[in-house]
Amino acid sequence: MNKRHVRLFLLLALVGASLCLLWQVPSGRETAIEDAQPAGRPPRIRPDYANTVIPPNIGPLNFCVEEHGAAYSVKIRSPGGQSLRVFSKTRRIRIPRRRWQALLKESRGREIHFDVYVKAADGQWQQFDTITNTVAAEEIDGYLVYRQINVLYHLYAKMRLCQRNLENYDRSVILDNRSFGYGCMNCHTFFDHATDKFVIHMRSAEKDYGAGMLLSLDNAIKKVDTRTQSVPLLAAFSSWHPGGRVLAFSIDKVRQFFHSGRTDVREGIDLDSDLAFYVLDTNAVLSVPSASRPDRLETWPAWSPDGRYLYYCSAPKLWDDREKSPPEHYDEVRYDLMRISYDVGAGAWGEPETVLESSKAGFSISLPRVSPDGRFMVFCATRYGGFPALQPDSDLYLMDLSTERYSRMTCNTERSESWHSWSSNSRWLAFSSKRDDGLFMRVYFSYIAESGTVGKPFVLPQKDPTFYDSFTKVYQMPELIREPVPLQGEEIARVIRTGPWIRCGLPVTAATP
Amino acid sequence: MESAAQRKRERSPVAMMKFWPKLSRRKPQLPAYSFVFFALFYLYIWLVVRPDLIYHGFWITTTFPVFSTGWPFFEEFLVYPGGPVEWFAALLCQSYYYPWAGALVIAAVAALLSLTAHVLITALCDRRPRVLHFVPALLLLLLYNRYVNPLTSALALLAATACACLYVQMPFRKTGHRLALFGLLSVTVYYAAGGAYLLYAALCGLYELLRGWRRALGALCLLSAAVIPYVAGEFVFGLRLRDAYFRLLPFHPDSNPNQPIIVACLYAFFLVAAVGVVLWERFALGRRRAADGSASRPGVGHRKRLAAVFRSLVPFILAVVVLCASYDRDLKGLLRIEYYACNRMWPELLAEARRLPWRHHNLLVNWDVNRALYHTGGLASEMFSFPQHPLGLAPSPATFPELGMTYAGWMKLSDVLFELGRVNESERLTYEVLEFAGDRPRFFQRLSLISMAKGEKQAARILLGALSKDLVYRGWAEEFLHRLNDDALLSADPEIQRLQSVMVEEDVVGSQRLDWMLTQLLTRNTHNRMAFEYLMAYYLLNRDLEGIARNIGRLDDFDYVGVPRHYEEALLLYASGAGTRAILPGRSINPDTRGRLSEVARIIKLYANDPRAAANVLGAEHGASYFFYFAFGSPGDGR
Repeated sequence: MNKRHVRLFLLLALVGASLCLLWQVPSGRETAIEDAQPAGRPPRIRPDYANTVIPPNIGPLNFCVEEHGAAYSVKIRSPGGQSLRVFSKTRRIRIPRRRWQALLKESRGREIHFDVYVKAADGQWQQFDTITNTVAAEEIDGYLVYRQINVLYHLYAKMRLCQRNLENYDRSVILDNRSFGYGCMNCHTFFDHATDKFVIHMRSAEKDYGAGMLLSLDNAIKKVDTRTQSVPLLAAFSSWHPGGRVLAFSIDKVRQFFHSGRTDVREGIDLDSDLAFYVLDTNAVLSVPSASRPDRLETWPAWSPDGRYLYYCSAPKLWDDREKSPPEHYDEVRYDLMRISYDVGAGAWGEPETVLESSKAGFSISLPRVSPDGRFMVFCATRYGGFPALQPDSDLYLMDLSTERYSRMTCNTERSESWHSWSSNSRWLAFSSKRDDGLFMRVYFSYIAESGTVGKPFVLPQKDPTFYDSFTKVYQMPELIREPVPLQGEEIARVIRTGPWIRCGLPVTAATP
Repeated sequence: MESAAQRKRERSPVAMMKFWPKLSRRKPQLPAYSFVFFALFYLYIWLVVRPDLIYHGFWITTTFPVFSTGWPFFEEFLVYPGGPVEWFAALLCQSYYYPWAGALVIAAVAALLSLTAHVLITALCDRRPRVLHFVPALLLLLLYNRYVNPLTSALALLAATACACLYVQMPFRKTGHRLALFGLLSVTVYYAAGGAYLLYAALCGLYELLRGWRRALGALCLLSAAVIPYVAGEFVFGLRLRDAYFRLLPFHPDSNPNQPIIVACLYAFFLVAAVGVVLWERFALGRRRAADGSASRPGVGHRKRLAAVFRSLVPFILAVVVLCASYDRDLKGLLRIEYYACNRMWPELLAEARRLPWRHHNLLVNWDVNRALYHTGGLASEMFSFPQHPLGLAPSPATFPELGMTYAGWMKLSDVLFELGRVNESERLTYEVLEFAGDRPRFFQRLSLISMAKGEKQAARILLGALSKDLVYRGWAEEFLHRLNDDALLSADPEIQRLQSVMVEEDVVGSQRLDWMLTQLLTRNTHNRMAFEYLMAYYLLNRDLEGIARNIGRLDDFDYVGVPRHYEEALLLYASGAGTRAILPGRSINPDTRGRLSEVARIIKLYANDPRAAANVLGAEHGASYFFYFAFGSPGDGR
C-alpha cells in the first residue's frame, strides 16, 4: 500500500464517519424537542414497561416506540435530577447500560420517568405523556437459570440449560444436550439461591450415559442414580430442605396427549406419582410413606423455609390402568394442597394435613413455592390437572401462610402463568407466561411487596427490543439465583459421558443428619 | 564415488536452494481448458443436477443447513471452531433455491478447490498439473450428482487449502517469519474451519519437510496438528476432544452423514497428492538427470501436441465417466416428486410418479401421489393406476411412532392433515419435525398459517417474524405481517378462510382412526371435498365396501358429474356381494363398468387355481381398476 492509497483510505474513512455522524445526529434537534407538541396520551411501547415496579439492579429496559415517526427520543429522569437521553432513527430505543445503572441506583425506592418524543415527517416533535415506573428498594437476584426449548410435543432433540445475567444481557449455556447425545435435562434445583449445591435431572437418549440426577457440590459434579427398589422411577420435581442435606422429590409417570380442537394442543398427565427424598450424607433414597399412597397422586414437593413442613399437591387417582393415556376422568383430577411435618433430628415424618382442598377452592392446585421469608406461598390454579404450563387457564395465586388466605394474583392474564420462582429476598417473583401469544413462554418478573401487593409484571429485558418478535423458543422453569453457575458446558457434559453412576441405597439409619 | 561430505553438501538446504529457487518461481497457472471445464460443470449442475432439488428434498438424501439472518443466529456460530465456515456454508446453501445461483456457488467452490490444488501441486513439485488438480472438482461433481450436499465440508477444505497456498506462496525465507505466518494462519484456519485445520497443518508440514527443507519447522507444523486443537478445545472453547479435532471433517457425527467416504477422499486427495507429486518429481528428476545430454528425437513436437490435446481431454473424459457412474435416475425422480409436492405442481408430480419404477413408490411417494390425485381430480378414478400402500393416505396419529418414519414422513403427514383441516394434528407433527430438522422456513410457514387460522395472531406474528429472517421466504412472511396489521382476521385470504371453514372445532383427546377423523371433518363441514375423497379412498384401500355404500350419498354435497370410476366399481362389488342392486339416487352406473366387472370375474374364475396367472392376464387391461385391487390386494402394473 503506497502513500497515495493510505491518503485515499483516510479520506474515505473521514467521509464515512462524517456521514454516520450526520445520520445519527440531526442538526438542531435539541431545540426542536424543547418545542415539542403534547400528544395528550401515553406512547405505545413494546414490551410494556410502563407503570411497573423494577429492581434497582435490572439491566436497561430497551423498548420499541410503536408510533409512526422519523426519529425518536426518550428522556429518562430520576427524582434526584439525574437524566439520560436516547436518540434513535428507528423505533428501537437502546438505553446505555452504565448511565441506566447510575440512574437506577439514585432512584432506589422512588419513581423514574420516561419522556417519549417522536419526530413527525414534517420535523415537528411530539411529546407523549410521561411513563412512570417505580424502582424498588430491594434488588432481584442477579441471575436467572432456565431451560430453553422449542415448543415440545412428543419428541425432543435440542435443549439447553442457560443462565442470564439480569444486570446486563449476558447469557451463557450451562449445559447443551448436544454434548451428551441429545439427552433430556430438566428440573434444575438450587439450594438457597446459590450455586455451590444444585441438582439437574437428566436422562440420556443414548443409553450409554444413563439417567439420574447430577448433583453439584462445591463445584464437583456427581451422577446419582436415585432409583431403588422402593423408589423405582427417576426423580423429577425437587426441593431442597433448608438444611441442605435432604432433597425431596417426586417420582412421576408423566404422559402427554393431544387435543383435536383446543387452541393449546398439548396436555400432560401424571398417571402415577409419589414423593421420596434423598439424603446427601448417606446417599440414600427413601419414600415418604404417607405421601406415597397407591390410591393418590402426590407431587410438587416444596419445603417451608424453616424446614418443618414439606408442602405438596395430592389428588385421588381416578384410574386403575397406569398405562392408558389419557386415562379415564383425566379432566376430573383436582389436586389438594397438602403439607406434612418433618422432624429433621429424628428424620421422622408426621401425618399429611390438608392446607387447601381443591373442592373448596374450586380449582386444582399445583407447583406450590414458599417465599424464603416464609410469609407467602405462590401456587398455580387450573380447572383440573397438575401441569399448569400446559393448561391455558393456569393462574398464579398468592397465599398468606400466616392466615392461609389466598387470592388470585393481579399479574395473571387469561393465558397460562406457571413455573414461578422466588428471589432470595422474597420480594421478586419470576414466572413463565404465555400472555403475549398463548404459545411461547416468556419470563416475567413481578414485585411482591411485604404486604402482599403484586406489582405489574414486566418481561425479561433484551438488548434488542424486538427480540421476542421472532424468538420461537420457550423459557421454561426460570429459577432466580444470586451468583452464576461456575460449572458450564463440557465440565458437566464430561461427567455425564464418563463419570460413574452412584447407586443409592437404603440408609443405615432413617435419621437425617 | 561421491564422498559423504559431498553428498551432505548436495542435500543441504543451501545446496538444494541452488536448484529449487529457479523452479519455485514458476507461477501456478490454470490451463485454458480449465475454464471450459468449469463452465460445463456449472451448466451441468444448474440444468441437470438442479440445486433446487437439494433445497426442497434435503431430507431424502442429505442434510441441509438451517440459516437465518440476524445477529442471534450468527452469534451461535462464533463460539466454537468451525462455526464461521458452517455459518457461511449455511448462507451459501440458501442460493440453491435458485438453481442458477446454487450452481454458481457449487461451481465456484469446485473451481477454487481445483485452483488451490493446482497451486499446492505446483509449489510442491514445480510442475503445473494438467489433470490432477481436477480431482477435487470431479469428486464434488460425483457427490452432487448423487444429491449429497457437502458444501460445509468443501468450504472447510477450501479454507484449509487456501491458507496452505498462502503459506507456501509467501516469499519468507527466515524460519521465524514462516513460523509466525504459520501461527497466524493456524489460528485463522482452526477458528474458521475446525477440524480442517489438521489438513492445513499437514500440508504446511509436508511442504516444509519435502520442499522447503526446514525439517524442524515442518515437524513443528505437524506437531501443531496435535497440539492446537487440544489446547483450543480444552482451554479456550471448552470442547470435547472429538469436536476439538474433527468438527467439519467427514466422519464427525454432526457432519453430513451421507457419503462420508467420498468426502474423506476429497480431504485425503490433498495429502496423497502432496506426497505423491514430490515422490514422482524426484523419480522424474532422476530420470531427467540420467537423460541429460541425450539428443531429442525427431517428431517429438508433433507427439507433444497430440499428448497435450489428449491431456486436455482427460478431465472431460473423467467427468463423463464420473457422471455416468454416479447418475441415479430414480433418486432424481424421488427428488423431483418432492420438489413438485413442495411447489404444489400436481400434474408434473403425477407425470414423474408414472415414470418412477413401482419399487421406488414408498410411503412418502404414495402420500404425495394421492394428494396430487386429489388436487387434479383423479383420486376417485385413477388412484389404482399407482401403487397403493395400506397406509397410503395418512395413517392415524396413533400409528405415527410405530411407523418409524424419518421426519420427512412426519412433515408429509402434516401436509396432508393440514389440507384436510386437522390443524391440531398438523401443528403437532410440524413441531415434532421442527425439533429434529431445525428452524426451517417451511415449518414456520405451516405453523404461522395454522396460528392465523386458529385466530392466534400474536403467535402467528412471532412465527412470521422468524420466517422473515429467512432469505427465501422473507417476502412471503413480510407480506403476511402487513396483512395481519391491516386485516387482523385475514378475511380476504382464501387459504385461511378455507382452513377456518374446514378445521375441526370439536375437541377430542387421544388418537383416533383415520376414518373417524375424516368423518369428524365431514361432520364439521359436509362440503370438505378432500375429507370426503380421502374417506372414500380409505374405505377403498381397506376394501370396506360397506363404508363406500354408506357414504356414497355424500356425492350430492359436491359437484360430481356422474359417479367416479372407483366408486362405481366398489358399488358394483358391494352389490354383487350383498346380492342387491347398487342404488344411486339420481345417478347411474356406467354400463361399461358393469362389462369390465363381468370380464374380470370371468378371468378370475378361469384361473381360479392360479391367482398369479389371473393377475398377469388382468394386469395389462384392468390393473388400474378397483376390481383388480379388490381381488389381489394391490394395483396391477400394466405399464
